[in-house]
Amino acid sequence: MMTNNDIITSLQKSFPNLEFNEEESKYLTVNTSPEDYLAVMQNLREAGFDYLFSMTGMDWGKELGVTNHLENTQTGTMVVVKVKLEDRQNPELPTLENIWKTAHLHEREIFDLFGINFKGHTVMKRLLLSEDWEGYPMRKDWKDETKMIIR
Amino acid sequence: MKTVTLNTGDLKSQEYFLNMGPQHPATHGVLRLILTMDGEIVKNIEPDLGYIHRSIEKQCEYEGYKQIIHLTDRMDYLSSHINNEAVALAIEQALEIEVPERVKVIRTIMGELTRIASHLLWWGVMGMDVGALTTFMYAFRDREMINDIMEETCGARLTMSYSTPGGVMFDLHPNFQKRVKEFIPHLRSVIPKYDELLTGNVIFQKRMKGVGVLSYEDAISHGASGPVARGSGVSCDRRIKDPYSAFKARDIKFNEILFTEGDNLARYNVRMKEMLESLNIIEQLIDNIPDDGIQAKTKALIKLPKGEFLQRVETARGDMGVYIVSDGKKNPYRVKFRSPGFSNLNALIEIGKGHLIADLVAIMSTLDFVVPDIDR
Repeated sequence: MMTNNDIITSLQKSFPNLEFNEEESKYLTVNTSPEDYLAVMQNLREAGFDYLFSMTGMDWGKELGVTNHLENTQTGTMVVVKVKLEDRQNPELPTLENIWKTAHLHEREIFDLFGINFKGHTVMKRLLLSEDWEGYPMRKDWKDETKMIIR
Repeated sequence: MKTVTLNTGDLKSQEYFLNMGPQHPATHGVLRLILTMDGEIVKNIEPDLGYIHRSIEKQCEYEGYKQIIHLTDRMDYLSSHINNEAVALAIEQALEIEVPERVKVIRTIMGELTRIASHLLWWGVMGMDVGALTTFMYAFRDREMINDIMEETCGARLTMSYSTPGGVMFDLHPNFQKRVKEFIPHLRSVIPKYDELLTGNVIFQKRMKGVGVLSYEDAISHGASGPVARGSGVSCDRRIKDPYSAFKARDIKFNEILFTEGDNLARYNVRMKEMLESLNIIEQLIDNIPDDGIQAKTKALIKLPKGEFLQRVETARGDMGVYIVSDGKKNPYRVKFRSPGFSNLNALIEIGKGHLIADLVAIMSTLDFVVPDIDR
């Protein structure tokens, strides 16, 4: 059984700049920079986190980003990886499609609703909304002019 | 007579696009698949979603926690009770409320009844998808009994909204135990008939065996869960791995159904056997419902503490997650519903390739999509 400390020590060896947080939720949270993101995820995949439970697009007000929930199906350990992007105009992240196949649809959904562009994704198009939709409705600064949701 | 010789080498075949859905009965709702076809062989699948997208996650950001539960009915409407339970559990986890044991037992019985109803509907429609119309009538006859039980206690047949933060909406109807006890032997007696009717049929077996194989590694990589993953041998039942409600409070004995073939028949068998396991679970609880109230004390206006809360439950379709990010206000900062159907659809993109279009319909059927669950 892998403990949180094992994950922290193994990650710190390759990435000394990572921030860890154990209070935020019941799982270990890893905060990574966009530059380290792909390498950190690859590292966790090799450490046995084979199940990408979900990818959640986030708008923290100032930054956009993604929260990933990973699970090791053998031990049941979970870890949360967060990545924040300062640039709200052209947010870009590398795709995880080549590590977990499930990222294919999850990343398309995040692109659609938050406008984060995943570099290297095979089909980076809108998924839920129509092609001619303007703006990204899950962002906090989205204006609901037709009063579709906000009454 | 002049003979015409045809040089087949000169004939050019051309790939073409085919729209499957959104108004296609086999897509079980409004799922649109853009298929690249070579004759009758599927070369590529591109799902186009959003025909029933209601932006439930965005709506949640403007509703109180009690209201959110009513939105989750409308996601996977065949597991509506389990969805309600997931949100209620997430809120209870955040507020650190311990609900009465009666609530836990009621929730689990209702959840298992919902699972059986969902699998029964799936079985009926599955038969229809491969050309056996009779199954639909039988499945709906038996599913009706569960709907009636639900109606008596919850006041609704499909979208129950029965769980609330800290408890359940109403107490059980006096007839509840009697009717559930009538239902258990009834379903036990009809499932062998179902097997006679469909499972053993040679044509059906040939449509199922070896079609749409999803390997163990791919099932995990695609994020598949529920009967889809268990058909590929992945042990992923949240009721065992991360027990909640009565699975945690009581010592319930049941088996996790695993098949390793990963084909249509394996997924089919998992669901057929799961119905019997659900009956076992209900049987262990129905005579032993404690009487310690149906509601823990909660405030009229629920505010969650700052933080992040994730609750995972096992719905009829698989691993469903409710992820709430709270900033301490009366409505959540962000809610994410991780729906099992969304990830299972990802698996279809791969396993559907290379099959005949008629087999694609059968594969979609064993993946058991509910489109509002995928679109949210």
